[in-house]
Amino acid sequence: MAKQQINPFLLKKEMQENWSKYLLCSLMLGLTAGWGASFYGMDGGRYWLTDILPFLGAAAAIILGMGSFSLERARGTLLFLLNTPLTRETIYRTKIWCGILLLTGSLLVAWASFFLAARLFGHLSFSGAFAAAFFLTFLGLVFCLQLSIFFSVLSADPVKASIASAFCLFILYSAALLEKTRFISPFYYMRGGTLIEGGPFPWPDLAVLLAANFALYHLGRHIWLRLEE
Amino acid sequence: MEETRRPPAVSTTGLSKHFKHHPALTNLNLTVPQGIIFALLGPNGSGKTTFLKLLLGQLRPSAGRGTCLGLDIVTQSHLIRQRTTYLGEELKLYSYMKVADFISFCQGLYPRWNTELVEHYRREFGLPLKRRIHALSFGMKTQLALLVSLAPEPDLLLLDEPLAGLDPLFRQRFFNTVLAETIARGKTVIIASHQLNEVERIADRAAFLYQGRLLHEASLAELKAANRSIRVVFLEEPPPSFWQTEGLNSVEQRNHTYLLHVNANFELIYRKCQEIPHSRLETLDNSLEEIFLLLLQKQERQESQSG
Repeated sequence: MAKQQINPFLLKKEMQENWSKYLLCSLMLGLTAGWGASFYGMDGGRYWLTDILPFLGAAAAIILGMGSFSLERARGTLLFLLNTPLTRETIYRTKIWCGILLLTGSLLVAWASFFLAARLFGHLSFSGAFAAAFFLTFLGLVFCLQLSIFFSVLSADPVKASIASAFCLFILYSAALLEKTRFISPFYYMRGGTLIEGGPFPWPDLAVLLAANFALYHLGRHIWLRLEE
Repeated sequence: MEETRRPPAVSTTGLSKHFKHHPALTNLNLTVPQGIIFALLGPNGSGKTTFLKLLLGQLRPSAGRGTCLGLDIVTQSHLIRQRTTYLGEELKLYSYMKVADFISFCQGLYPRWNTELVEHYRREFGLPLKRRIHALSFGMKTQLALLVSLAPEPDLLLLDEPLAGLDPLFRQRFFNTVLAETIARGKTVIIASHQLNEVERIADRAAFLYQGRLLHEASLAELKAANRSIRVVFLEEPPPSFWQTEGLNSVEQRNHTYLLHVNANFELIYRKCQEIPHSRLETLDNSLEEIFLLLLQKQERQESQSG
């Protein structure tokens, strides 16, 4: 058996374990998206995308990522996994990709809910700028998910991992609100507000989000590969 | 000829593992040939589990090196785990899964999987496929864990206190049937245990660990032959030179009855006993537990002599 990048059986197990979390996140994001689109039209949509989605999406990312490693460690099944031929690399990648797939699924539900509600109330049609801004938000939320998984790698307690990631994301969210500190926050780059208002595509924001995701992925991977259980 | 080409199941040189300042395993030099049952014996905290975790790549050595089935334990641990399975004392399985789902999940993690063997042991253990793991008894969970440990047909099976808390009937079946069948297929079994009397019946070789150090390693036949006792009732006090005889490990005395623990020169000491007037003289075979205690006493004496 060659070294696998992602193990499909482990991925399936992860999906099954996180299915209820996925439904909860989809419900939360889908309902607020429908609400944003139905009541305020395009303005409501912008408000939902730039203010509600980053906040609730970050909460969803914490929910989806918090138990990734820490729950396995807490219930003792991590040692079972580590005793199989799976490499630490494969386990890490599979868990990250499972989180990304579930987050993507929840955001797609939110996206569908948003457009269904908007169409139902006749507020707007499909907008390319909106889709691009949504994509930037998605990248920002992947960062939030990775941060949650990062704390999950460090902790044996899912609750502590979620509190640590929530605290960290709260600091970053607050930093995005202040003129002097917003440049250090992914929440600032993921809003894409100017894009919806007709501005050019914010390539620097995209680059920052990609770089932040890349760096966090490798930091988490680096620590996970060096841990001893 | 085939046997000589097979690398040892385990070979370590100076293998050590320290946790912060606590030495869990110190300078372990050990070779385990393939195709045998090897007992790793010692009290709790003697380094048995640390050793097994080092073999599987869960821990990195602080010093020394080792191979498992000819593969390096640091750089090729995932290849080792393709051919080695581990069954530990603390069984933590995915309790929400059904037995069938858990088996098929495990099947996806190993390159080899013998479905006939799974079915054979599943029927023998009476494991219900549709029941969830949390609804199984402790014994059934152990049997399930054992089943998925055997199904990949590992060349090396690591058992870490595997039967703690199980009923004697299953323990007997495990030793007499499951292990016997595994060895008959040419596999190697390393069984770590602090229950010495249990492995005494089945092991081919044994290593004694104490406080992370290897006290002694030999075949069971050698151990038994080299560690015997003499019970003698002397009618006269033996001469002082008798007590200095090399190989006389320790002496227990009650009135005129002496229990002499011998770890070398058994024939010589027995002959000397015969020469001293006595009313009773008999030889006793020591159990593994007694041998372990004797080795421990010897080690402590050597340590106190060396300061």
